[in-house]
Amino acid sequence: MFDIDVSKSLPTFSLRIAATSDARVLGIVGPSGCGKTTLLNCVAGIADPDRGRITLDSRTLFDSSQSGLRVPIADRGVGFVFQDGLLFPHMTVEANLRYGFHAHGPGPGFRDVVDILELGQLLSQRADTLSGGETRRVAIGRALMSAPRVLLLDEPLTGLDRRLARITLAYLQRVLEAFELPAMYVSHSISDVLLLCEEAWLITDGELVTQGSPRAILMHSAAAETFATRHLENVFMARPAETTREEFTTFLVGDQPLVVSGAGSASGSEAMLSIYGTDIILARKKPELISARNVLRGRITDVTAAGQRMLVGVDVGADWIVQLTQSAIDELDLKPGADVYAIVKASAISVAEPRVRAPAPT
Amino acid sequence: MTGATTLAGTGDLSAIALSIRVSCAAVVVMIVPGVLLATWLARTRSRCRPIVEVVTMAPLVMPPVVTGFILLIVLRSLPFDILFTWWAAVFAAAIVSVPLLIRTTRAAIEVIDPRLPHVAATLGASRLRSLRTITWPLAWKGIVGGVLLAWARALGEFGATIVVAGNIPGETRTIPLAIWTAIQSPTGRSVVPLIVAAAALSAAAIALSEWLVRRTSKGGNVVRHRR
Repeated sequence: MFDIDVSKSLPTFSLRIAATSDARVLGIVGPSGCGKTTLLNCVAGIADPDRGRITLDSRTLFDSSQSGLRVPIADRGVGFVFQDGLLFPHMTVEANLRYGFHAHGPGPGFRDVVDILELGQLLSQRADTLSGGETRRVAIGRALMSAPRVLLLDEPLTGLDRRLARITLAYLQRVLEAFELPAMYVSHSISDVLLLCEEAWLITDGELVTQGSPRAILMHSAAAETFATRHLENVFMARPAETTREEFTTFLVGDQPLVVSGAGSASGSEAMLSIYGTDIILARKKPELISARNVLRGRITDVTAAGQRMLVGVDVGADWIVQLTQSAIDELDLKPGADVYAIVKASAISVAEPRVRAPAPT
Repeated sequence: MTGATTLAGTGDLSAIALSIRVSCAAVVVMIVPGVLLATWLARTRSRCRPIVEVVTMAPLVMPPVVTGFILLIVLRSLPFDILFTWWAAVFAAAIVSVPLLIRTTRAAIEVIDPRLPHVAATLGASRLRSLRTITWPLAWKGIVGGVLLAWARALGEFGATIVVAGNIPGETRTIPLAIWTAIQSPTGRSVVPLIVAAAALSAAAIALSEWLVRRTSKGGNVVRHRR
């Protein structure tokens, strides 16, 4: 699917990436300024590598050895979603969406895209009057409308607050599932990549450090420096259970209930939930008389050092990652295979409004 | 005789009408090459850019008579003869005023996010479509402002015009040339109506241009989203 071997000199470092991947959704992760966006720009044709080869979906887009083969941007068949959406500000939402309609071949219908991204109410609005979250949704829709062979997403959640970022992420996940589109997803947030991507490449200072499943990347020692200081968020989809109380909504994680406060009225559709890895407590015995609303059974899947902290993978019906100290690991004797209880306060769980409908037919 | 002709005289009215016609024709002649050149200068990374900048801006700072002299040599070398005709006055006014159109248009294009044409390209747009639907519509205030400014400059053009077009009544005698002729005249005819007309037209054009340019530079065309 992705076959990239490029090098490019930049003012502060050189980008040298040589890797292949068969993943449908490939994550590119790394710290700010490591060359992620430059790599994506090279794939899109916005920037040219000094030398190398770029092949997407068996189609060579750039090859410096083939007498400088360089497919123009407009003919590459890529849909690009920029960091800040970059809508055409003088046009309406509908004009933005229709700008490149089926430019790269037959693709999703206008109404399908509008429906799945819930853009119907916005169609007549000018693009420069939209909020940040709406802007990203329209930008995703506009790229989809062009019927790209590959979707390139350059940190599309940057600049959004946590709630809006989660809602937009939920839309993005639905879109990638519904249209089964290959995608490269650039992010400095491993949490997003864990949810969306089948494989990830970790880039630091322009070099590919490692590649593998997002979870393996997170657990890789080389990732420690990149992600240890960040708040690691567990993002997962969950369906609301039937029983809800006034101030709480109960979701199901596997077969276990997860009580969330202030979720509002869940309408039966899946919602995106997130919990920081630092907000989860692990216990070896089931606690009693505890104020936290959630005590979930789980099993430890892996334990990895990540800088000053340890990352513990726990399977509670969803794969959670918990950040703990080494002393806590030692005292509780936490090892892969060990049974544990994960304790979470209802107020520590964030819910993206469950507005996303089931995927549209392709 | 109408009130207007009593105040200004038929020669004055002819000069005013000719000036408006010449400056409008000059704008028509310069607008396409001027906007294209401004677009190129705003976006190119070519090494030739400094040279093109100097050449295009030179008429703005050179003495107009020198510009007229260079234009005289160029027009003489053409296979057809337009020297000392209405067309020569149009070309003189266009050459002298086009730098203002280029400068203003270029500034308006430079404030547009340079990634927008890339977005258009990923959506399959050709370069021309991207310019036509994104860059120029977003820069329209700057382009119109530049056109008005250039029009006002063309209206007041004197030095280059007299070199290549002469001072032929009804043919090439524009407002500045009519004023100059009146001042030279031993009868001492009043130039006040011509001066008032020239000042009023120029002031209106510049005021409108400034208003548009100010609106552009305030970011009316730049992508700004609420977050």
